Amino acid sequence: MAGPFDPVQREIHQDWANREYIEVISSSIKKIADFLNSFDMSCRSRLATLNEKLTSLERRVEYIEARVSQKVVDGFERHLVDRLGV
Amino acid sequence: MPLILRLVEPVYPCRRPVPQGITAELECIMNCALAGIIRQIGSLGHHAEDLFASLACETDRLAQRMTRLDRRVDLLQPEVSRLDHAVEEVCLHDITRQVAFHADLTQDQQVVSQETMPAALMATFSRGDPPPFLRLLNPYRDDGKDCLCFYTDPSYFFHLWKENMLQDMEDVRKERRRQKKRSQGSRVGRVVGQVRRARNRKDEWERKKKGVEFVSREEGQEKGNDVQNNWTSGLVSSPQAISSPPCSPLPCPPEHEPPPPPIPPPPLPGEQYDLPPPPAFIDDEEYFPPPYPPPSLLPEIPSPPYAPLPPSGYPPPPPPPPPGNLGFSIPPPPPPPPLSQPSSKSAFPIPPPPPPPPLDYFPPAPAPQTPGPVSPQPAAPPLAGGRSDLLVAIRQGFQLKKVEEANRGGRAEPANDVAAILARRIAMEFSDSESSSDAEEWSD
Repeated sequence: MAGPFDPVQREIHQDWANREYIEVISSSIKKIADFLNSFDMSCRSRLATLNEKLTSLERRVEYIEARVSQKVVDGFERHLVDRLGV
Repeated sequence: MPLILRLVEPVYPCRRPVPQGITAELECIMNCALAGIIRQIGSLGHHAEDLFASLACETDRLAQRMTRLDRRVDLLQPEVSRLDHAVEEVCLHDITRQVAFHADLTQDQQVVSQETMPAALMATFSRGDPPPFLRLLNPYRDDGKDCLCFYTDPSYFFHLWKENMLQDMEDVRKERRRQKKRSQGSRVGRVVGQVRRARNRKDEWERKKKGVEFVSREEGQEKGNDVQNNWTSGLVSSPQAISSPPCSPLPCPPEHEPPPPPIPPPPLPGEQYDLPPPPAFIDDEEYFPPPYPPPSLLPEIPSPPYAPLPPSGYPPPPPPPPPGNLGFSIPPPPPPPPLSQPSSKSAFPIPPPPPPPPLDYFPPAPAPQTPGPVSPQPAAPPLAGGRSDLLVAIRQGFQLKKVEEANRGGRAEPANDVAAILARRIAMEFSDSESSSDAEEWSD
C-alpha cells in the first residue's frame, strides 16, 4: 500500500488542487460575463427609455415652436403659392 | 437560429489533445487549461471593449440630441415668456387662416439590415464562407438577371411584398372605377322598385275604388312611377299622383323628356318654400348639379330672411393632405354647397330652402368637393379680391392636382421603401372608405 507521500498520490492531489483553481477562475470569468450582459441589457433599456422621452420632447418643442412662431400667416400665403403655382 | 453576438473563446479550455511524447500528462493538461483561461480573459476583455464602445456611441448620440433640444428650448424661452394670455395674438378672423400644424414624423425603416448590424456580428458574418462566384455566369444569361439572385437575394422578400402591394392597389383602383361606372349607369336608369315605398292608406282606398282588378296592375306600375309621382306630387300635393299617365314600370328611357323643371317663384322674404322633393332618379346630366342659382341670378333675389354668411366669412378648406401623409390629418371638410357649385348648368333659380332637402338631391361631386349636409345658406355673392380667387381655385381642385402632378413628376421615384408604399396604401384605403361611405349616402 502506497504511503501518504507516494509520488502518484501527490500528483493526483496536486491535480485536484489545480483543477479547483481553474474552476474558481472559470466561474469568476462567467460571473464577469454575466455582469457585462446584464449591464448591457439594463443600459440599452434605459437608453431606449431616454430615447422615447427625447422623441416626445422634440415633438412638443416642435409644436410649441410652430404655435409661437410669427410666420404662421406668411406660411399660409407661401403654402398657397406653392400649391397653386401662382 | 440563435445567433451568438459575442462568444468568449476557447469555450472548453481543458479539452485539448495531449501531444505525443509527454509523460506528465496531468501537468500538461493543467498548463493548457491555464493558457485557455488566459485566452478567455483576453477574449472577454475584447468583447467588453466592444460592448462599452457601442453603449458609448449610443449615449453620445442621445447627448447630441439633448444638446440640440436644449438649444431650441433656450431659443423658445424668451418668446414664451413674452406671451401674454390677456392679449389676443391672433384675431378671430385670422385664426382660421392659419396653416394646420403638421408634425414631421420620420418613420424608422431598414432597422435590421447590413448597415445596422453590430460590429461583433459583422465580424462573425465576415468569418463565414462567401457565396460562390456566380456573377461570372451573368454574361451567359438571356434574361439579364443576376445569377447571384437565384442563390441568395436579401431584397427578395421586399420586392415580393412591394409587387403584391402595388398589385393590390391597382386592383382596388380598378374595382373602384368599375363601381363608379356601374353606379353612374344605374343612376341613369335606376330601378326604384327596390325601395319599399311608404304605403298610404288613401292611395289604397283610391285604388280599390276603381276596382279590385286594378290594384295589382297599378302596384306594378307605381313602382316605376314612384319617381314621377314624387316629382309631381310636390307641385300638385294631392293624391292624384296616381292618375298621372302611366309610365313604363322601368325607369324612364333617356329620350323621355323630363317634366320642365319646376321653377318656383323667386323667394320672397317670409314665404315658406314648398319645394318639390328632388327627383329620385336623374336621367339627364343637366340635373346633376344641385339646383342652386347661378351667381348671375342672385342679385335679383331679395335678401332672404335667414342671415347669409358674408363671403369673407367662409372658412377656406384646408389644403388637401400631402401624399406622404399617413392619414393622420383628415381630408378637407366639404365646403358649403353654394360655393361648391358656382358653375351650375341648371336653370333652377331655387335658393336653398330652410328645411334641408333629402340628401340625394345632390349628386356626388368630384372627390375634392364632396357635398356635405345641406346648410341653409344662400349662394355666395360673387367673390371679389385676389384671396377669394385663390380660394375659388382651391375649391375647384383641378388646379391643385395639376401642380401636384407637376411636382411629382419632378421628384424621384416615390415609392421605393416600406413607409412610402404603406402610406400610399393607407391614404388610398382611407379615401376609398370615404368615397364608399359617400356612395352609400347617395345610393338609394
